Amino acid sequence: MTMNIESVTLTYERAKGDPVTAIRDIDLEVRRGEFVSLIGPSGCGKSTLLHCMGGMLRPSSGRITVDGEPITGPKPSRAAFVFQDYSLFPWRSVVDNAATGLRFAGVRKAERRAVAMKQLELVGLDHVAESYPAELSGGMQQRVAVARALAMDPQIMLMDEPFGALDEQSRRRIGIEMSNVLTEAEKTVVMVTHSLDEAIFWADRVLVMGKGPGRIVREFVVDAPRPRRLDFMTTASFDTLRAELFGLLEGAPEEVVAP
Amino acid sequence: MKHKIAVWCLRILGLIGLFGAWAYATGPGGVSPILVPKMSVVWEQFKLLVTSSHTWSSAGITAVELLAAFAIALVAGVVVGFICGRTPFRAEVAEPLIAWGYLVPLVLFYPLFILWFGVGMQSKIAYGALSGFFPIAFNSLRGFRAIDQRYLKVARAFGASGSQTDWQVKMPAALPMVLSGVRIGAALCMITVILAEMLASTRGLGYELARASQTLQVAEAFALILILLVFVAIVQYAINHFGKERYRTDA
Ligand SMILES: Nc1ncnc2c1ncn2[C@@H]1O[C@H](COP(=O)(O)OP(=O)(O)O)[C@@H](O)[C@H]1O
Ligand SMILES: [Mg+2]
Repeated sequence: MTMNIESVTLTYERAKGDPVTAIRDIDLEVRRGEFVSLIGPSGCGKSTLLHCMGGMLRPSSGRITVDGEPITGPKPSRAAFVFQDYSLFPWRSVVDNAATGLRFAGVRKAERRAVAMKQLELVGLDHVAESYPAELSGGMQQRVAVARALAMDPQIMLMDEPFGALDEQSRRRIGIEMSNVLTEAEKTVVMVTHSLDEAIFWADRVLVMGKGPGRIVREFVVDAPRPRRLDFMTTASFDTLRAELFGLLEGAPEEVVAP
Repeated sequence: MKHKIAVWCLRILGLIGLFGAWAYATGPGGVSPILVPKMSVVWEQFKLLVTSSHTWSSAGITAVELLAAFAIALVAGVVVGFICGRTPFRAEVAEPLIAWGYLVPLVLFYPLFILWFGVGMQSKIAYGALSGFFPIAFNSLRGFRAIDQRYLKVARAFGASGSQTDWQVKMPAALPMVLSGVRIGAALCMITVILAEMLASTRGLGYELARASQTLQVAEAFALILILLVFVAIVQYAINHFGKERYRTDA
């Protein structure tokens, strides 16, 4: 599987006010099994790009194809989302939430519950399968959302700041856990994050986006085999990368913001 | 737990106070039995009434009117709320109209209902259905309008079809609001049906009550009120336990 993004531009038409061009002329290729992280200042179009990749938004110009086939709309077996705000259905149990996409696809009850249970085991939540989302912590809810996406066995997972709403500690713990789950499942992943550590630790490639309008300004390759152990964060190569990213994002804004 | 005990003690104390005042008024208080009959007399009447088949058939008629009115209000209210809640434009058009129907004293139209449907059960059903309809439609409309966009985003991202989105996402998402409308609607249906029977009819518990008080059968009227209170309590209980949400809406 290869996803090709060719000079994609997206302009939001607004009922009031001028149209906003969120991303312009994005070129990108995502290859099978790759983990790509997307980082950049808020409002630079990361979510917009991710939504285009998943067929949730139609680019104003340019095209996105998967193995040559153009993307025309959302299709969870091709690209499954994990949203920042979990967005579980509060009226459904955890296992039924994990089976949501399968239910929409018409999979029979026993079968979809079996698949959902397997994904819940992967994210370590099979013991709360019959609970309701309101009974779960934020971190657990987000793991359910990961299971819901995994249950579709998608060619690519699109995660939009998946752990942004969690506190630092659970974020790191769950992040590492999920990173391992995804690596083990050999998933192709594009993840938006605003955490430098997360961007480097998870990814094979870090794409840095700049603002006004959004485009990709730099690309870093993280040259270390996955899954990684926590002590990867203490290595020199991690530090160098982190310092460079930091400089790009925080230190020299004029480099990031296009004229 | 302690709190709960205190609450119940005070409630029971309130009831004891009420019945105490009643006993005092009809005994040492010297209030005329034509205005307030003795408790024991009312109790005798009550026993007489609950063993009479006429009372049961009256209650049956009232119950049938109520159920029919509620069923019509429920279906019409949810359907109208759903249809009008589908687009912002429709909602903008319909919301003030429904709100207005909710606030208007519909009893003004009751004479017309008698004219159109006669003094039989139909006029009670129509009038009850109309009063129950508005709160159900209003709350349903609000519920369908206020559906969290996140749920719709998930539905789309995970491949829900149009009807799947309607039935499996919008309906359950709007359910808490719809149910609160249904509870208000059911209570209104009950009040209206009984009131309608009292105003103009030939049968039913409300009719019996109006007849008893107009013919100065005060003890019977009191006993009927007692029966109506039990009736109302049963309906209220059913309403409150109808579709108790299984989930917290703040999830
Ligand atoms: N639905 C929308 N309508 C109009 N403008 C939007 C909409 N969504 C996002 N934008 C604008 O597009 C730009 C990029 O937004 P977004 O993709 O959410 O950025 P990010 O995820 O990087 O924070 C922002 O300037 C934002 O205000
Ligand atoms: Mg975003």
